[in-house]
This record gives sequence, C-alpha cells and structure tokens, in this order.
Amino acid sequence: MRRILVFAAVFGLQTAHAHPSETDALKHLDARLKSQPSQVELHLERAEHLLQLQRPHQALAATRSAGLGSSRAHLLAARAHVQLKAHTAALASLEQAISLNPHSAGARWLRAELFEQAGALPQAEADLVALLRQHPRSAPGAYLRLGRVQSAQGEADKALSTLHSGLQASGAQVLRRALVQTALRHDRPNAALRALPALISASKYPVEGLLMKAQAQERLGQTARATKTLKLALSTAERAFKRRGSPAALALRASAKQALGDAQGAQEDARLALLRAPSNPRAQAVLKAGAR
Amino acid sequence: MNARYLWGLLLLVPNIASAQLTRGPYVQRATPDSMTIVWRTVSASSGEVRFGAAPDALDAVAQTTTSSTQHEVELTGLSPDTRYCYAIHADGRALSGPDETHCFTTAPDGPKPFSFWVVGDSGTGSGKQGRVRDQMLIHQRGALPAAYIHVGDMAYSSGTHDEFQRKFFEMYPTVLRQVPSFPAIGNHEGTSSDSLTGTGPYYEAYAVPTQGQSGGLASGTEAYYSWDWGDVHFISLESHREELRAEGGAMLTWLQMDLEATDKLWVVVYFHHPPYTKGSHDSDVEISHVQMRERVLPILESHGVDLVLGGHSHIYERSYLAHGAYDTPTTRAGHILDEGDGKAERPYHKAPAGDGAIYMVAGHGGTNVGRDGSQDHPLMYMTEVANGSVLVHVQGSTLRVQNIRLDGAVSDDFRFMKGEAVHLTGPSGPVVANTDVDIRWLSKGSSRQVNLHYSVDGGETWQEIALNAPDSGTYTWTVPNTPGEQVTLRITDSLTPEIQHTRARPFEITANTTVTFLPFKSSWRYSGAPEPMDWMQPGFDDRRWPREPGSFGVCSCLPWEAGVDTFLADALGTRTMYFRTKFNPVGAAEFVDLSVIADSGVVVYINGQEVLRRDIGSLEHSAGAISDGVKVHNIRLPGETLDPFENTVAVAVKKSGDTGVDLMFDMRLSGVIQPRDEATGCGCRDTATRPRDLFAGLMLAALGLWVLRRRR
Repeated sequence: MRRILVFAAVFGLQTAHAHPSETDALKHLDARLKSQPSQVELHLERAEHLLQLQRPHQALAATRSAGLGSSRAHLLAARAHVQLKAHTAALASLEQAISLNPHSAGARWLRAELFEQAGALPQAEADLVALLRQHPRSAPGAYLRLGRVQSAQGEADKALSTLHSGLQASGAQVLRRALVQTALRHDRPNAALRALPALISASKYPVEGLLMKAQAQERLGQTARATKTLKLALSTAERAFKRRGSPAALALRASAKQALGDAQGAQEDARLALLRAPSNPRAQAVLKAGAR
Repeated sequence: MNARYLWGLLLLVPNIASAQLTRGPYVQRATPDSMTIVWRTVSASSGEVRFGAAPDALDAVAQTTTSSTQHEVELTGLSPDTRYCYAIHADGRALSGPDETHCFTTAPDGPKPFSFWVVGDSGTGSGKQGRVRDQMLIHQRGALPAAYIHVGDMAYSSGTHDEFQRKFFEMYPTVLRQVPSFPAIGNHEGTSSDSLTGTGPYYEAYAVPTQGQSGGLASGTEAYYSWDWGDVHFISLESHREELRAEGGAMLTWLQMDLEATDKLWVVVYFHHPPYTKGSHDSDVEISHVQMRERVLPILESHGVDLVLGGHSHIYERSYLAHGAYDTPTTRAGHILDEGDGKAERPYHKAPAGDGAIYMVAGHGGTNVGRDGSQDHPLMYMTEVANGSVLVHVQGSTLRVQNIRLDGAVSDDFRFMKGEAVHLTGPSGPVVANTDVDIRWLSKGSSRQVNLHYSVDGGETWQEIALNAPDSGTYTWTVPNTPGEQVTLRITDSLTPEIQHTRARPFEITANTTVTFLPFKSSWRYSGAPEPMDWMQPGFDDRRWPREPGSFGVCSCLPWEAGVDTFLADALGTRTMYFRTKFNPVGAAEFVDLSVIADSGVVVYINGQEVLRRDIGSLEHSAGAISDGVKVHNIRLPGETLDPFENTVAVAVKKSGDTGVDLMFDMRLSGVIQPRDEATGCGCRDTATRPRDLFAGLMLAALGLWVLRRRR
C-alpha cells in the first residue's frame, strides 16, 4: 500500500510539472483558461506559445482576449503583426506598449528595428538613445544598431562616439570592428588605425583586421606599408586555412588575394568556398567583385 | 547567566546572520591562471577566499573590496592545469571549506585530454534530476569532469532566485564547488531574466567570461560568450530572444568574428533551441529553432564547427555526420555525410579540409521526457525518450561522446575523429601480467607507421612496446610483470609525433594472483529494522533477513527508474539499512581493495571491525547521514583485515539527513593472495595451523568417513 502511495505521489508531481510537447502545453493552457477565463497572464502565455508556433492570427486573438491592458500584451501583438509582415500595425502596437511602459527594452528595440527597416532613421535613433539611457548596460547590439543608424544619417562623430561608449561599457569586439568600419566609411583612417591594434591582437588569425589596416594605410598614402600589411594578411589567411580548413578560412584567403591583386586566385578560392558554404557572404562578395 | 555574557551573545547575532550562506560556493569563469569563487550570504558582509595547494595548505588570500550579499572573488596568479583548494570566510568567520570537495583545477594552457558534462532541461529539483547527476558520477567512478555545460532550463518554471537555488545550486552542490559551469540561457530563465539588458536572476547567478579571459573574443555580454579548454573552443549562444537572433546583429556578427579568431582544433557550440529536433518540440515549426537553423547554422558550418548541442526538446537525439541542411522543413537527402553509427570501430571522420558536424539534443536532464509525434528527425541516428546526460571525452583528435541514461546504461557511445588521427580503443579493462593482449587502435588520414609505448606511472615516464609498427589497427603485447593501477598506453605517428593518442583513463596490470573476493552485484542479506548492538559481529544470526543480489536502492521513483538490481521497497520508511554477507578468500591476502558505492552515508565492518565510515555522524538507527548524494569510496586495507578462511562483511547505509529518500548500496572487495608456499601448498600468512582450522579439518575427515561407511 505504501509503495502504491509513493507511486501515486510521484505520478501526481510529474503530471503537474511539465508537458511532453508544445501542443500539450497549449492544450493545458486552454483547459486552465476554461476555468479561469479572466486570467490575463494565461492568455499572454498562450500568445507566446502561438508566436513560437508561428500562428500570428491566433496569437493576436489571444492578446485581445488578454484585454490589451498591458505593455506586454501590446508587445506580443506587435510581434504577431511582424510575423504577418503588417509593420504599420506593429508600430501602432509598439506605440501602445511604450506608452504603457516607457522602460520596455523589448518594445524600444523592436520599434527601432522596424523604423530602421522603413528608413525612418531619426525615429530609430530616438528609440535607441532612449533605450541606452534607460538601460546603459544593454547588450552591445543596441550600441551597434545606434552607431549604424547614426552612420547611415551621415553623423560620423555621433556614430563613432556611440560605438566608443559601447566599447567602454562592454568591451565587445563587435563594437571595435564597427568603429573601424565606420571610421573607414567616413574617411577617418587615423581613427581606424587607433582602434585596430586591439582588434588585431584579439584574434589568432586577424585577416579581416589586417585588410582594414591596409585600407586605412592606403587612404593615408602609405602604399608600401599597405602592401606589407596585405602580404601579412595573406600569410595569416594561409595559416588559418591550414589549421581550420573551413570554407570561411578559404573565403578570407580569397579576400586577401583579391586585395593583393591576384584576381584569379581570389576567384578560385571564393568558388571553392561557395561549393562548401553557398551562403558565405565574404566569398559571395569576392565573386561579385570579380564579375564586375 | 551573567548579563554581560547575554549582551555579548546578542551582539554576535547579526554576525552569525550575515555570515550565513544562502548559495554556494561555486566556481566560475575558469581560465589557465584564474578562477572566480562565487557565493551568497543572507545579509551584506565582506568576503574572503583562502586558497592553496591542499585543504591544509591555504597560504594565499583574496578578498572582496565591498560589503555585499553576492560575493565574487577572483583568484589570480594561478598556474595552468593545477589543482587548488579553498575555503570561504565572511567577517573573519569560516563559512565553507576547506576539504577535498572545495578544490578545483585551472584550465590547461594547451591541448590536454579532458571530459565535459552536458545537461539540459534539468531544473525540476526532482529525484530524476538527482539520479541523472548520480549516474554521471558513478560512470566517472568519482572523477569529476573538467567543465559543466548547461544548455538551458536549469530552473523551472520561471528561473526565479528561489528556483535557481532549489533546482540548480542545491542539486549539484559538490559538483559546482569543484567544476566550473558554463551555461546557455533557456526560455524558462528568459521569463525572469532579460538578455537585452543583462538583468535578472540568471545574469546575477553566473559570472561567465565576457572579455575573452578564457580564450575567445570578448562578447561584452553574458548572453553569449566563448571560452577555451585544452584544444576545444566553446561558444554559448542566446537562442531565446528573437532580437539577438537577428541577421547582421551583434550576436551573429560576434559569432563570425569569434569563429575566425580561434585556432583550436575542435569547436563546440551550444544554445537552448536546437536546429534539429522532433521531440517535445518541432524544429520545422517553432520559430526559435527555425531561425537558429536558417541564420546560425550557415555561419557555424562555414567555419567548420564540429559539435552543436541543444536542449529545450525533452528527449535525447543525436545526428549522423551532417552538413548543409538549412531548409524548412529539414530533409535528409544530400545532407548526411556518413550514414554510419559512429560507434567503436566506425567513428565519424572529418578530413583536414572536410565538412560535417554532429547535432545533439540533450533536453533530458531532469524534466519529464516525451515527444509530440512518432517520427524520428530525418538527420538523427538515434532518438531516445529517457532521462540522462551527456559526457564528452576529448582525447586529441578524437571526441568520444556518451549518453549516460537515468538507469546507468550508456545508451549511445560514438567517436568523432578529425584530420590526421590515431585513437586507441583497447584493451579496455585490467590486463594480467605475463599474458598476451591485443592493443587496438583506429587510424584516419595518411598511411603511416606507429610507435607504441606504455607507462606504469600515469604518463610520467614511458617504456617502449614497439617502434615503426605497421598501422594495422592491432598489435599483440606481452604485458610486463609490473602490477599497478596507473598504467596507460600511447600511440604516436612515427614521423609526426603530434599525431598521437594517450589513453585518458589509466587501467590496471594485475598480478596473476589478483582475485576479487566479493564482486559488485554479490548477494547480501538485508534489514531495515532496528537491530541489536551486535548486528555487525560474525556470530550474529541473520538468517531471518531476506537475501537478494546487489546493487540495492530506493528512491521516490518507480522501481525500474532506480537503476539498481534490487529495489528496497522496505527501505522507504527507515533511515538506515543493514547488509551482511560472508565469503571465503581461499588464502591470506597481501592487501585488500575496498570499493563501496553509497547514497548517502556508510559504515563498513569486516569481521566485526570497523574499516570505513563516511558521512555518518551518529550510528543510531533513526539518525540520517550528514551529507547527500551517491559517492564512490575506495580504500586499500591491510591483508590482515581478512581471515584466510571465512569473513563476514556488515554494512550500514544511511539516507541523507532527516528527510532524504534516496538510498543506494553496492560493494566490491578485491586484492592479492599471497603466493602459496610450494612446500606446504598453503597460502596462509601464519603457517602455524590454528585450532579452529584443525577442528574444521577433523570434522571434514569425520564427515568423509561417515559418507564412506554409508556407501558401503
């Protein structure tokens, strides 16, 4: 008898705890909602599951059932609209979400992304500035996006300052790379050269960093130095390919060859890389440049 | 009582409260020259770590600079691949340690064999979660892995502080004190922690390398990061937040840069939502899986990533060697590079400039397992709906991956070799001196000749077996007469010594006279009732006790989930179980090796004499053990412990504390019998025949005579 009781207790705990599948989880939520239809959190949880299953219409219905009285409900509705590619409706939902909770990082982030996609760069910038003011320790992605938006508006100083602040706050190497790229894009080779040593020393195979360094040296008229740097980039790429043997290493070697003027070698490497990794962007770029 | 003393006691109260531990200690952010010790106290206090080469040699100190409840103390200036022990103090008072479970090993600064443990979706705090942990420890025979990777969902259902405490930190206290953990956030932690702002219980609990301290490129966020151990580069990604999965976003840009920057031979990437699964989640339907597959996999495979680990789906799944399957729905055609099982003699192999990765789902660490449909995923070689965890053994250019199921079975065991590689596969167990055994190995890449060596001191010095032997996969070795337990083998490419493999786990050369007196799974009599004081004495009458084969155990589980041979239903209502058995060693022993597996406390008597006591305070029947969890205890006893003719072994096993439910027990006795005296034919230590033996001999003679007379 005692054993039966123990088994029953164990089974009881198990069924109460988790569900074997996403579908079961939805069924369980539906059952709970039948007995507690006014439970807003349950409707929102259901909307989350439906968005995960890419059922945006049902997710929208679930957010409406929740009463759309919270920032979270509007944010979920916005995500459903995004899945439906209804960006205007998504922006309207995000407006509501932010008015109910101006500190919602998720809502600010998504709205900035949608504004950026729509070309509304000042609005995207405003959201990202607000996000970083409210959450200064945000993930580096917010700084990266803000720097990009500012750079796209021609605000080079602002962009470099944003990326520099992000780098100070997080130490993220993606921001250092963006800083170098932004400096080169806005013809600030000295700024690029200042940031490059730390980027180059952080990698065992800094081919990309060396290519950017050569580009900066070229802009400053240091042709001999640039050639030397490019040769170093190529030998580094050779080492990387020998060690890793990956399509990405092959694509890097293609980039180095291309920069050194070995168009044929670059094309061969890029083709080989694309045979193994058809979507490798660096190899695609080399091939495209060769075709031009 | 004197009022002055009362005031003194009252003044002490806040100090006692502040010094009270609520979490940890646990080790984090391992590097070759540093380790961070983390713990939490009830109220704010200063923190201090004393550390050194051994528990009784803590000659260095590191301190927190501020008063806090969350303490993170970085120990710096350490040596690579070196063991250190520590104790934590607050306001001058010892809080935890030092002892052998408060020790860690720093990361090596170069290639070195090691194992890492992979757990996913464990955070229930259930008995199943505990048994998954215990089966790993039993499989490892007490040797801890170097690192603990958690692929998310470590604290159901919302990843709150309290859930983290009960369902993660209190489930693995001994492991976490010694083994650095490197997590990936799961969707359940994601409900209370925000990866966009780096806030919440998940981000407060862990201290992971965000600045490239452990190798890899600085990510600047704890949401995703990378680290190195030996010749492996590890990357933890955030798969929960759609914002972070964005193409061209910070995480995927960093991923590409990080992969370009590493020079490690192996690359292992892990995140919560696996790109391929047909378990409790469907990677063809759910957006997190689809995006990780469509956006992340092309980057991973383009950079030659070898092993991709996930969880979320409550199941164990393991793929073939696969490549290029990014479409939705996933199809098999053209994407499987090796349709083999990857097992012992047919490992997967990736050429120096080759493609292919193995994809695994380890969402079976403690929650209920299950699946939505009945179809296996087309890329999966193996699908198993059972709890467990994964151990990965890195040995040079070979990975060996094992799924350790809840019941202790190794249900999957495959190898993955890379580039030019040789890998020893046998012998797998003890070998006997002066006999011939086959050394076996696998070889991949160019044709070669090999050198074979053995070591009897765990790899300190090496002796030659064969030089320039043909690479035939087998060599017959006459085992030298050098009995010992720290024997290992090494195979090396004759021309390129970097291509080599050393057996990671030492094995034993046994003398021809080595015997197992009492093997594991022997039959024992047992009782869960209070017994008289002399229950451990050889003369005690145990005939009323039932007799069953080991191993024994009980838990709050179904009998077949306990992973034991005899489920002790009678033990559910008792704190202590008693076991007795007898055996005859047939001669005098030179020494005796005792191995006992026990959950939780154990005391062992041989012939009425106590020979081992672990984790037991009081021997009272109603008293519990003073610690929790399955442990393996190994000790060597003097040969005199055994009687050459008859021995009684009595064991008491206690459950943890006042409320622990789990109990487990099994035991082995082995040793070396002294060579028999050629003149007398006796293996006796004391050649003088004892009165009792004389009496036994007379009785046997009388019995023989009686039998003979009856026949006539």
